[in-house]
Amino acid sequence: MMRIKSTLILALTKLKTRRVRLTISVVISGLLLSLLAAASLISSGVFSSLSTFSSDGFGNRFIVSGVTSHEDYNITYSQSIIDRASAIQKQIIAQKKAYAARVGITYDPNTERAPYVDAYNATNSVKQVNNLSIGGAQALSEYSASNPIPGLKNMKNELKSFNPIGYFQMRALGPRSIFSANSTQPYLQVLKSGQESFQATGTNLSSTQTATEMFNATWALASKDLMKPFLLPGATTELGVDKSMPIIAPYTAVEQFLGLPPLSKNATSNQKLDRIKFVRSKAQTITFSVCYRNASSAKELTDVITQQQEIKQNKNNKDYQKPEYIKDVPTTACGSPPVIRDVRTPEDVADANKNIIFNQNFGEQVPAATILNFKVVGISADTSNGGFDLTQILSSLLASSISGRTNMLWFSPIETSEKMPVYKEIFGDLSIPAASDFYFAELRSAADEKAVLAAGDCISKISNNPNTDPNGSGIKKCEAEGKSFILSPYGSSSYALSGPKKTFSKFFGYASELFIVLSALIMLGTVGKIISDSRRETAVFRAIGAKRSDVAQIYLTYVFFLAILIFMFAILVGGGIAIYVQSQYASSFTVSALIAFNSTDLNKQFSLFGFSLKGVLSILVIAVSGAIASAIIPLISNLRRSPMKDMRDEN
Amino acid sequence: MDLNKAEEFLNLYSNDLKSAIQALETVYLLKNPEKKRKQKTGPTVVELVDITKKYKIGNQHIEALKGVSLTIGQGEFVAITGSSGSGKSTLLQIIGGLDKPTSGKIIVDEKDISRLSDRQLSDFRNKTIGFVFQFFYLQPFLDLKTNIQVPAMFTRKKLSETNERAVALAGEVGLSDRIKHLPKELSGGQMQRGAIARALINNPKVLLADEPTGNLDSANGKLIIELFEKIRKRFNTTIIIVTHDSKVAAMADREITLADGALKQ
Repeated sequence: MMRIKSTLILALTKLKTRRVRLTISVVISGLLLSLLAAASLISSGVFSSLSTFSSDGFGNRFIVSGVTSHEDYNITYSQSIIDRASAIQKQIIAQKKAYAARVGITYDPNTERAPYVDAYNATNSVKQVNNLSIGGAQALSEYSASNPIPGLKNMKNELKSFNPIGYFQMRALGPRSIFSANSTQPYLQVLKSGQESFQATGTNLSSTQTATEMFNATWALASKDLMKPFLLPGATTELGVDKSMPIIAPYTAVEQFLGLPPLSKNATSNQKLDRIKFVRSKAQTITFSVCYRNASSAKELTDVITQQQEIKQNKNNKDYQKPEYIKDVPTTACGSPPVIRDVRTPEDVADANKNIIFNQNFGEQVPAATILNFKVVGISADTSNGGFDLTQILSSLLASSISGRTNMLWFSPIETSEKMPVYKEIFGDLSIPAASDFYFAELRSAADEKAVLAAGDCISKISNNPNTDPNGSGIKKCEAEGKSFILSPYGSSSYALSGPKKTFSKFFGYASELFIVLSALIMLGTVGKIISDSRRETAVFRAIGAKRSDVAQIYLTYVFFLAILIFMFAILVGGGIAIYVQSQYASSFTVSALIAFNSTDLNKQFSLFGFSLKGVLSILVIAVSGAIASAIIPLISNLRRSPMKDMRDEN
Repeated sequence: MDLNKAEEFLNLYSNDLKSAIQALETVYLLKNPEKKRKQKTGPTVVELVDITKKYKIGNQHIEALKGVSLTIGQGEFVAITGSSGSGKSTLLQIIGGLDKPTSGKIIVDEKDISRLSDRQLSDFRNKTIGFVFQFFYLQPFLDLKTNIQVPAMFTRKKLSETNERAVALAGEVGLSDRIKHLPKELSGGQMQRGAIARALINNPKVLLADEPTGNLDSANGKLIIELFEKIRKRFNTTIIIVTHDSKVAAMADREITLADGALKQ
């Protein structure tokens, strides 16, 4: 081994040779590495900021959410249920025929939907129960009754060994069972200026719908404990003095209630921040009403609108005969559609009334509508107000907002729901578990949360192929093992962050390996060439007494210095990139994060630039590894050559 | 008073006078090689016994050395001559431990170097041998003093330990005023003198020079040969040079001529 000082002298003098090639090498490798450096610096800032922001909301509470897949859609292919559906259908049709004959009305059994349909699964044609048919719906209902959905009781039982410190529940709007017919879904519409709108009566979610239009599908009842961290300062989950139901509303809906037009996409971060401050300060003054119509009322209204459209389309059609019985859209909020024309004969009226009684006897509801009053007590995160939309990304990434992975946006306290009229009709019996239920268990630590998630992961791993598992036996097996729920992290920022962090580390690892290979290849053409071109010098060193190890020491020290230069270049350029990204996007991220995390401290800043010693050292290690990898082959080759031959060849 | 002045004069110009006398002697010997005085040599320092060296290039077998045997004494100045491809450089490499003979024995400074490992050979080259090359091979971005110190760096000696010797050697080769200069600031002759100083830093017993004047003009070539003479006298170093130049060879104590890999009788 040579002395360090001697090695440094001989290695550093090499850095002065072939400067153009050296500069190219440093710049190309440095640029490549600077991307990793920038990624490291930015990610470090992002993760640090996410930790800071996620201390709001659920902060460092360790909560897991569970949903069940008990009602496996595969069982709709079950032959026994298909047979049962056919038998019920036959029986009800017979009853309907007899009843119709008795009261003297016409009943055509062909108008009934078939109890099963032909479906295609992969390559096979298979029979599938039709849940919209009277027989299919009842057969599936019987099946559900005899196979109750696992509920909170099951979750408590399954997780008792982990000693959770609390359990919570959330029931989302939607069918109680995944087999429920669509027509039984309730209709809820947020009133605008006390009026119903008859434009959007559909129930389908679409990206163009506003948050208020999405109320129909995104309202949930949640435990007060889940709501508390998201309440506005001074707000409570108690009923209002006017008996209004407290509700956490999505940010954009609050903007809408306040009559604020969406900010333009070019709005500055300061404008966005001012908007957030204003929205938060005024949100608690908002009260609003929602019209609830039961399925029958909703159908009645749809029929009215369809009829009106038909009349309008035929306005100039002389051959068109106006219906004898016409209803108009309601003139009062949530009212019944008034009759505006009735020229039916008394016999037709009697028949119509008999038909109504007939349908109600066979399960059709009496149309009913109610107005529900709400007061805003909190804000949930939804799409940001224009510009770079990160709010949802942040929310879904971390699942630490109240919405988590539930896709719900509006939340009212489950404990107060009984005081709300028709709550049972809207949400069903809360004591009977439903397919739209979410259950939550709060653990004591991240380790407990991790253990619960690891132990409970069964359903998500099973094969759910209807061809191979028509009776959902995979799910039944998981349930038999005491793993009835698909569990996921909820609200635990540390745990939620660990996923993206792990993914990033994995990405960084792969990227590092790729970089080492790429930089080694690039440097093989530059550094490697410099070394292989130094055969004569190596030969001279060997001739004047250098051991092979001495020469290796000199060149490895040289590539180490080269790697330091590349590293410094990469950190400078990468730092520059990170600073640029910070200057361009930090304020936009700050605004998005303030909404996503429902921050009470609006002075928090989201930084896209952070220093991580581990990250910086990783860059150094990658630079050194790449440089050494590029040098090692030409170096070994040089050392194995005959010194005298190399001196001659060079001449 | 006159004596004092004479003493002062001699002290001032003694080095120049010595150099002048040496130069005159060299010129005389070059013009009258038959008058060359054989140097009295010491004990054997290099002994080659029946050395052969065979190469294989592609399918062609080349016998570079064919049973070469010779001895060279301590302090002897030997010139190896011969036409291109005669094996003279191969012989120099084998003496210097840069190559191993196919057969035969080679003893340098009482060591059978054909039996040394690569590591031992490096150590041998570093301490026993000094190499001088036709193209000098100085480190372009190191000053002359540091260049002279390079072989000492491979001995784990501290740089401070060799500073004084490097400066002294620079003086010996007449480059005292150039020690801070980079090679590009030196002439060809100066660079070769610097390379000779570098070869002497570890006080080797044998100095091997491969065409040391091949890249110099005749004036500088003469100076280099004079320097070898001086070194031999000053340090009793054995000097073996490979040369094409018959005038240079004539300056040596002995001229060994190789023809087709064998010693020419």
